[in-house]
Amino acid sequence: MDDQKPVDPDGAAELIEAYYQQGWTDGFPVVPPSEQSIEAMLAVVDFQKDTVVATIEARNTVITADKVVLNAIMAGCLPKYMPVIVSAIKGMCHPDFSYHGMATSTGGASLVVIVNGPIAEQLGINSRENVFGPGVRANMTIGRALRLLMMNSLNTRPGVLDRSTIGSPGKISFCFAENEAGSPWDPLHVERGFDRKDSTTTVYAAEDIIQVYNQLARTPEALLLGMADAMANMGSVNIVGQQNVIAVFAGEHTQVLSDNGWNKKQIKRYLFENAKRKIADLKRSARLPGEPQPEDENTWRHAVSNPDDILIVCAGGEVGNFSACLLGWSSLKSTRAVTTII
Amino acid sequence: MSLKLFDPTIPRQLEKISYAPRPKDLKNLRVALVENSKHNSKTILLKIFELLKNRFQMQLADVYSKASAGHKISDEAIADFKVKADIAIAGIGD
Repeated sequence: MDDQKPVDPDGAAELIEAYYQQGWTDGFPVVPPSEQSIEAMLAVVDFQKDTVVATIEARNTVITADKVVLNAIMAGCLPKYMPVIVSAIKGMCHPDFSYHGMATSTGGASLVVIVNGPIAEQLGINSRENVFGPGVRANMTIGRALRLLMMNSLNTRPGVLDRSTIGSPGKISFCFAENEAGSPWDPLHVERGFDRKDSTTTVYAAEDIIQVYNQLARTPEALLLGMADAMANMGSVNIVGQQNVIAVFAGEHTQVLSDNGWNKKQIKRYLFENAKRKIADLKRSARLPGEPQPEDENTWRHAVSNPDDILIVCAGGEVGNFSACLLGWSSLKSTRAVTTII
Repeated sequence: MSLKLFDPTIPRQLEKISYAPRPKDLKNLRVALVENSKHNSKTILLKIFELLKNRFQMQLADVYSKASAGHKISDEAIADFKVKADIAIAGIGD
């Protein structure tokens, strides 16, 4: 205790309040940066302050390392999280992700970051119990760093360029790791062309999270009907837009699928075939224009146009009969999930 | 006591953008329409064109569709505008 510098709680509180007054927070208090904390962050990724991390041409914006670092510090990140943050930013700025739409839409998409590979465990990024919930610094602060960057450096502020009607708690922070050790299948990044020993981030614009509960199902077919129903949610953009969907299976549900010998291809095929709505129902609910015609009662619209548009991730606790469906925002013309190496 | 704050905003600009010059008179001009792929975008733009045609005898140069509302118009389309049109009207938002 004698070797430590005295802490000035009043000074810290005054600094935190000053950042609030500037409008540089997400509503939560931020960690005030210092020259030392900035240098520590930059050193991990060997950047200078003016190193260009990424650009978004359509927004006339260059993201330099100093802004990334400041927002990461303010979010509460440790320096060792920087490689994950940089990778996610590169994915977010990739033309395929097409940042502008998901960031400004009335649809209120969350920026989901899925971390794969050895770095997840090295950094303590949660992939298990409460995987979408609070409590783990890496999950909460990495996701928050990206949102603060969006708000502060990309002007994606509520009421300014972020025009979400409802928004989502996922917009505060949404970062998690895949539970690769608990998965019987290839992890997401391997499916998407990377090596198992690579570490990656996958960014995804999620419109919604639907928990999928089933305690009695012991066959894949019975279990997956609930996930398919969630995917075909009448109120989602997905059922008309046919965007990617992420199906997140937690421990017990993964066990049901695995015990019955189902692989990801089979799961995707079954979900594709069963995640659908009648055209007549979509017209009755004005999700599609026009009056229902007799043939519409036997014509279906699938939640995705291709089984491979479904991404399967294992995450969540070992115990409990819950999984989750992350519905995508808009359509594949507007944005698609992007996986970037760390 | 003065506080040192570090500004997380102020992105660097790639290039300056200025508005295109506005014509003084719309009579007989050629207009390009840019629809953003949202529902009814093209319908509304074509109705606007009809009003312009009736009032100013404007001509429709072409209708361009963006890949999505979040994408910018293609460079090829812009090159085409410069040849075929005098002004462009773009549909934005929902």
